[in-house]
Amino acid sequence: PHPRPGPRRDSSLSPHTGVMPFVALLLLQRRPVAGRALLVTGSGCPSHGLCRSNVQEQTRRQVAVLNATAQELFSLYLKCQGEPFSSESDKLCNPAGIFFPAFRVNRTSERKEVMVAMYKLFAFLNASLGNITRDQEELNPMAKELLERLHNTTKTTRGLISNLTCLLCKNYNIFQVDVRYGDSSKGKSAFKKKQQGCQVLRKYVQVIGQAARVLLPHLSPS
Amino acid sequence: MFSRWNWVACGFYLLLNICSPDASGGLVQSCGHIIPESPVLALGSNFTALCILNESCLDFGNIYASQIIWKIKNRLVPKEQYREINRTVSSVTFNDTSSLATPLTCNILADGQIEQNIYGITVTVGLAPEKPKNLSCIVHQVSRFTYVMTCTWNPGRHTFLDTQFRLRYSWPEEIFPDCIPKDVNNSCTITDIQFFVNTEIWVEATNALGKAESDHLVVDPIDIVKPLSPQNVSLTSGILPTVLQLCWENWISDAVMMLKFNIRYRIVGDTNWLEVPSEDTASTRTSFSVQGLRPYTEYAFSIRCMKEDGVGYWSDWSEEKTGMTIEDQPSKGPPIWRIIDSSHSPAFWTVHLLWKALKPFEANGVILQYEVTVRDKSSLSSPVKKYNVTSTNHTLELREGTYEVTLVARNSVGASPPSVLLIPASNSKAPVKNLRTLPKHDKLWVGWTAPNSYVLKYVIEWCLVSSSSDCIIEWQIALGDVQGIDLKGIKPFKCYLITVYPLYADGQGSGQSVKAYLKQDRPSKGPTVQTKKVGKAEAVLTWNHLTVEEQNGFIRNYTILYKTIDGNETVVTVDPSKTEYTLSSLTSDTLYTVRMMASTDNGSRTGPDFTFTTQKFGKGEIEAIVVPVCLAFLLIVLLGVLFCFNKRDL
Repeated sequence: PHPRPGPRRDSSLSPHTGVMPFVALLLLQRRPVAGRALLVTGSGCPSHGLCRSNVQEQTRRQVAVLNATAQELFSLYLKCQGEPFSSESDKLCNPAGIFFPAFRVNRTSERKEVMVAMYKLFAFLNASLGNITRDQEELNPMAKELLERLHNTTKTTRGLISNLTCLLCKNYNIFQVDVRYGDSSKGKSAFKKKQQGCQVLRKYVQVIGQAARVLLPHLSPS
Repeated sequence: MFSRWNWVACGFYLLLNICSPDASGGLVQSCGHIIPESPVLALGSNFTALCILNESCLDFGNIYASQIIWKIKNRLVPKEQYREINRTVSSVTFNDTSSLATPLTCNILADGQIEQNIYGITVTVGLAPEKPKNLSCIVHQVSRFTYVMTCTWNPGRHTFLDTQFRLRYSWPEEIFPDCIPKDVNNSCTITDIQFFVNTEIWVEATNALGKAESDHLVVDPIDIVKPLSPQNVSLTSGILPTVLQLCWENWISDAVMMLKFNIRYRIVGDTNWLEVPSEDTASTRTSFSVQGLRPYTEYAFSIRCMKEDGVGYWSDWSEEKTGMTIEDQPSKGPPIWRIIDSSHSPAFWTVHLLWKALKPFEANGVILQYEVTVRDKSSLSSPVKKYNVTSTNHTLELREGTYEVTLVARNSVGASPPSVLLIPASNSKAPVKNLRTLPKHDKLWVGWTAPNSYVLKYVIEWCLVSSSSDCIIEWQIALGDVQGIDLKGIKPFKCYLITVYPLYADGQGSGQSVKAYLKQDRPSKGPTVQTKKVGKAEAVLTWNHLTVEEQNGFIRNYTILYKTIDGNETVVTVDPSKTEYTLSSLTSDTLYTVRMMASTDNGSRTGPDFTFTTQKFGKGEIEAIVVPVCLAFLLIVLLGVLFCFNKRDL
């Protein structure tokens, strides 16, 4: 059963920085959470007062910020992992080997569909960034700039999830979205941890650009 | 092993300790207690405390609630405030806790009127916290990627209690850890903020008497940002003489916030700032070319930024950056004039050419040299003479005639437009009319009426008139359409000779002169009078004019004052051009004292006294008396001799 959103953080709509959802997944034997978006009317959205008309523009700005910083984050990540990642990133960081939420929407897609896809993407990213940050704190504790950028990106992603929750709830009465998370890197070797991180980040760079392009007509000020 | 008596002694000792009236705890039990224990009370409220005696203590002998007395800080509480609830409970009531102090003790008067303390409590009086007001927040950019949000509020009245303030903030779906102020109660700084999420912020104040909450502020932190000022500001010159390009680095990316700017600049040494119109810098950029500057001038620039839509706060002004525009050719030719000295020979002139150095905003650079060209217009075949000069004057020896002098100033970029001075053989053109002066505070205004013909420009000469040195000429040029000019640098109480020349396209008018003072004063000394000749009833007085340095103004008249020892003073006014005057109708053989006073428009000064004595006899009077007397005597003697001779003959 999916927990309903409460006044504080909800595990399905406001994922933590990556640890708890993985626990949940483990309990579910790492099966993707099955489910559909449920259209529920009448119950009202939590914290309505903070869900204002500027949330669309805020969401667009957040995606723009992530898009503007994604490549730099990825490049810095590669640099900090050292060899062979610095020189063989094409081979090692191919995201084909990992799960990444599909982002199969375009500018003509329905806005609701775009919002749901965005939510799934950033919920996944929030969890993944949390894992990557945890691993890098262990593997590269002196890489202050990388850790700061990971932290900032995670914060922006969290804020984005908050805004998407507002948009979904307020505009479409959607307050439950099934999210699938990737594999945890816990227990893996240092190399595998680094590789998983770079695979996620490489895919992230591709997808965030796509998201920025798709989002523009949907969230431009009308 | 232990003897029986030892056991008894121990048991007795233990019993004694247990039963001891000492209420310090442990094995000793107090005889009563007070409820409530250590209350916190609202100031001005009412309060009732109960002292409850333990049953076990009643056995110590006649201890009842009626014997209880209450004390505040060892001062007795009036019995009217007591109430005996029952045998073991007494209450005390305070209608207004403002007068309550600590500690509050419950005491009893045991047998023999011995007061014993039963229990005591500390009482704390204070106020519930007021609602915190005026909550406001600002996000400071402290480094390139770091932002902190500082919120301040009015904590309200002093509560006299330990009051905790917490700054709380949350998103729609997330509440963050509270911000606890350190060492203050009216501000807190949050280091973990996120842009583009509406954040609810409020302050909670809590103490033992209650809780209060401020109004909630809902804000997107991006709308309350004070950015760092633009960094690494640099200036580039050389594009044009009137342009400097300002470049800088923005430490906020466009994705986070688009910026607008204010650019201000000033000439180094001047305190007045000029600003680039804000509409020209109303969008994100990293450089700007400032135009309309003066060539070869050092400027200081400073820049600040804020969110493009004007929501938020301006950054501080950046540190000043200075730069210099490049040179341009001089914008105008130097004013030029001449002084002609023909004293040694009317047919040959010594012509002193004078010109003024261009002001910096006219020179547009460093003037390297002046080029003087002299053309003899009287003789077209005469060659043109050219001179390169580095000073601002040049002397020529010329034959009397008409000359055209051209002057240009040259810097590293080029030459100024030429200044042309026509030196005619004679100043035969019409002069100005009605030349006059008027003092105006610290300046002397010189005015004239223009001649009928068209005048190109006027040259105004002035010099300080001095009896001991030459009159050193200063000069100034005025445009042909003005009929008056202010002369600066004129000193008060000094006489100036001012001459105005009209310059025409084809000649020059004769100079009209006037003497003037900016400000007059009384003379610094009076005339020294003496007699030139003294008679019986007249005296010719003489004096020298005061020097121009002594006059301090135009001498309007002299006044002669003379008197005898016991007579009235007679006053005579004399024209200032005179240096002699004859006093008449004087009394003969009388001592006179005379002095002179010189007067200007601003006062008079009297000279030293001079005394003289008129003669007893007038001119020829003695001869008129002696000669007749002698003749008469001679006649008498002659007559006597004749008589004597006649008498003998008879």
